[in-house]
Amino acid sequence: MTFPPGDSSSPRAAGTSPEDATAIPARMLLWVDQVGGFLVCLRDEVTIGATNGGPEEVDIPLIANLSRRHATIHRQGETYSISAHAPSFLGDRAIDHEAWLSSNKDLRLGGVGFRFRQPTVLSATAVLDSTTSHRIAGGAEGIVLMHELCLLGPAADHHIVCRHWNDPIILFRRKDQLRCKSPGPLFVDGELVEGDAALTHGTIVTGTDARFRVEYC
Amino acid sequence: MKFAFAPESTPLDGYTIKRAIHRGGFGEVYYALSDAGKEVALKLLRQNTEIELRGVAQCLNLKHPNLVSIFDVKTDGDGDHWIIMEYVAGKTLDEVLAQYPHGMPLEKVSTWMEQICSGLSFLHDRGIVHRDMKPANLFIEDDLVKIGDIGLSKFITQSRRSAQTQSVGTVYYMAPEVGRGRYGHEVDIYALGIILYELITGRVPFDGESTGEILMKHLTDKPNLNLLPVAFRDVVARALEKDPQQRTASVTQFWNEFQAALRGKEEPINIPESSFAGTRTEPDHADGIGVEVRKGTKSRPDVAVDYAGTPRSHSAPVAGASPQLPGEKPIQTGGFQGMVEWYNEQNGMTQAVVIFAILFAIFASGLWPVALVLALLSPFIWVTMKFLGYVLIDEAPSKSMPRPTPPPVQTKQQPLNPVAHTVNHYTQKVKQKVRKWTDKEIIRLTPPDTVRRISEAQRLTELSNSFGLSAFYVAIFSSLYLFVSEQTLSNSLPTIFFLTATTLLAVWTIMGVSKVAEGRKLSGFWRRALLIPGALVVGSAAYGLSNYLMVYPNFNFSHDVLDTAFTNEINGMPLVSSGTPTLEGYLSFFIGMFFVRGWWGIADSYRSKKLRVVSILWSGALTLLQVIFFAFPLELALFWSVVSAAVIQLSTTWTPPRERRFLAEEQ
Repeated sequence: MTFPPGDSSSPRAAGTSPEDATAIPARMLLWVDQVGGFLVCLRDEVTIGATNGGPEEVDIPLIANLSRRHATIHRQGETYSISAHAPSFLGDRAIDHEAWLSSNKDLRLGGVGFRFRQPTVLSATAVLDSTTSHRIAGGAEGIVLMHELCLLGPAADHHIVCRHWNDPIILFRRKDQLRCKSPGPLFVDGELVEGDAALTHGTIVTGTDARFRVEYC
Repeated sequence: MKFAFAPESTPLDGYTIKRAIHRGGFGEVYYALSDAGKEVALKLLRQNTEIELRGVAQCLNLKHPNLVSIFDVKTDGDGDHWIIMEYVAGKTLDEVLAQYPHGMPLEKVSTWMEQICSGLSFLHDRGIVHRDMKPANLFIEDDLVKIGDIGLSKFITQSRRSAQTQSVGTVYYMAPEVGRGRYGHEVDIYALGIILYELITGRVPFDGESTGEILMKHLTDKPNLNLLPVAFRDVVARALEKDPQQRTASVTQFWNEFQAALRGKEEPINIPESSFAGTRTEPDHADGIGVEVRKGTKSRPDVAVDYAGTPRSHSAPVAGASPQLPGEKPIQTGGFQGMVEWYNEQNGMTQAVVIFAILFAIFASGLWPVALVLALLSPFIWVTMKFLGYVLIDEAPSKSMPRPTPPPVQTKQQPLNPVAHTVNHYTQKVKQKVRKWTDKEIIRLTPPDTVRRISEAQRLTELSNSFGLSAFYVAIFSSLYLFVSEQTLSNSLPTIFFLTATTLLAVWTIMGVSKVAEGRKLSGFWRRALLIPGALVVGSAAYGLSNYLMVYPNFNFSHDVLDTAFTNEINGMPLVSSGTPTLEGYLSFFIGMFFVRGWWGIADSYRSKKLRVVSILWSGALTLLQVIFFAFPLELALFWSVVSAAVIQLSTTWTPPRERRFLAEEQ
């Protein structure tokens, strides 16, 4: 997988973007002003491994000394498990084949460390916080494993914490679409949103003090 | 916050903006990817572009691992200038500090400080002053600290005044001389001192509700060093000197003093060898700083790694001796000297409580007559002992034990890694010179009448602090009357009020006049003469208050002690009438009390010690002599002079010798 640099504003240029621009992608990048870049994985099965810089990337490509497919995280309902394809540890225990993940567990894949968290009980969406200095290919600085919804906002139990925001913004699935809404005023590509609005590749979402761009990949 | 450029904008060929990072006084910063995928930070210059560009050009080719690199400067199609810089993905020190509201562990502080000092020393060595050092400009990524916003110095020079009113964040780290337009490398060292203080304590030394309040504190307040471990107080105090000439001379010196303070601790601190050897450790903490912790080894290791990366052995811990922990005060020397040192290190409130407890013990136990006799005799005992010591031991009066000296400055410089040649030759010389000074020499060269510059604001601040503290002490001393009077509380109250008011007026007069004269070129005669008007006011007030409250001091006690030695009149003016002092009696007493004793010697911040018991006894002895010749109730006279001498010393500021050493050099 590559996150096409430069002109990635068209859906076709966005690598594995779906044919239908409004369909839910397998992954997307959220470039949040003053906060960071976040890789949001929307599938129930997410592979983690070393980046190869080519088109056949895993879902979470890391710039690290890992196997190409080092591990896979599965979501079954509201629970998560991990399958190890190469030496991996959950806490201090090696993962022989598969292990259940629970919130605030430390995960180590080779020399790469993560903390698995489910910040709020309202959603099964999880985040992987890096505990080592390894980077994600493409410039993302955080990972979200999105279930039904993803909360961006100032509170500690939001999936993407944006401390300077006043109102949260909620990304959620409805039928085959990814949509957004907020208790405060919200603009999608400059248009005021009444209720909620669909997201597509290249959408720029703006709030009173928030701005981020959605980039399917 | 709105930014000028949206994500996916390409204002510069070859770079695509992905998101905004920050907006500062200078412009906006964006995260961008080059066409090949290189992460960069693009800084759009909006104001003072020419000045900014000159500063950036100066730093364009600087390469140092602890500085954020500037790759290039480009102009877009609209003529706007952009600085292309290294993107640092990690956290800022600001963000890291938020995890440590009560301060970082010292080993982490050391890791940060080493790298900050290394980068800043590199800048100074090339003649560049950063001028905006603050935690928000310090980044950490992959265990590597980087200083950002380099090259903005000229911009800040021009716009600092306006920036002050807009950004309190900057003001916390602003050296006092910045307000006067001085921007030498000393401003960076001052900021470094603030940052060190903040790292250790979790708070800045000068805080306030408004920008003006914080600036005023920078100009006049002394930082509260009691929050710091003892070993680091001198390091921070020197870096936060108000006068840039007296401040720590260089970053290298700052670092060496910091190291020396760390070394001064008994407990070896495990600082990662990589910090000094150039290798890296795996970061094991969320803030990205890896600290080599000897996990599972809770006991003190026999061999630790010293700060140069060289193994050094430690002797086995002495049984029963607990190791000194970070933040813990060092074990003081025993005996009376130890108690005095302990006392001097306490804050005003604690000192007041101690004095109150001692006095309470004396008066409540009924031993106060014995204490009084001992106090009166002690000057003669002291002189006799000194004389005997001089004659019998055949040497000068014994030297008192030296005070704990400030952390030793290393004789051999430890160059900052990885820049090995940033040691300032001049600083070396200064440090070697400083090392030769002992406290005694400094005190000798900086007596209380040393001429020096003291700002009016500083005088006012110190005086107001002293006034407040003295009121507290005087109230305590005066209330002791209750124990000796053998009266009920309600009957004692007028006398207690009389003692409090008159003593406080005398103390404030002496402190006020002394503070006005402090640091000025005035002879002893004029310093005494300046107190005469004050003596007249205090004497009149005491007389008036005595009549108003119907508190009439008598001579019963005086007759018991001195009997017939009084002179009851001066040039025909009666000093005593109906067994109590007249107005002339009060006036003559206070003129004598204020003029005979050199009060500035104990009120000046350059006195030899914070509190000298001998000074108190000397005041009492002089008063005793005075009332032998000019009639005045002895107990009241002694109370005023002795309590004044004690309270003035306890309440006025005292500058330790180590903070006067630069003046001593000039002398």
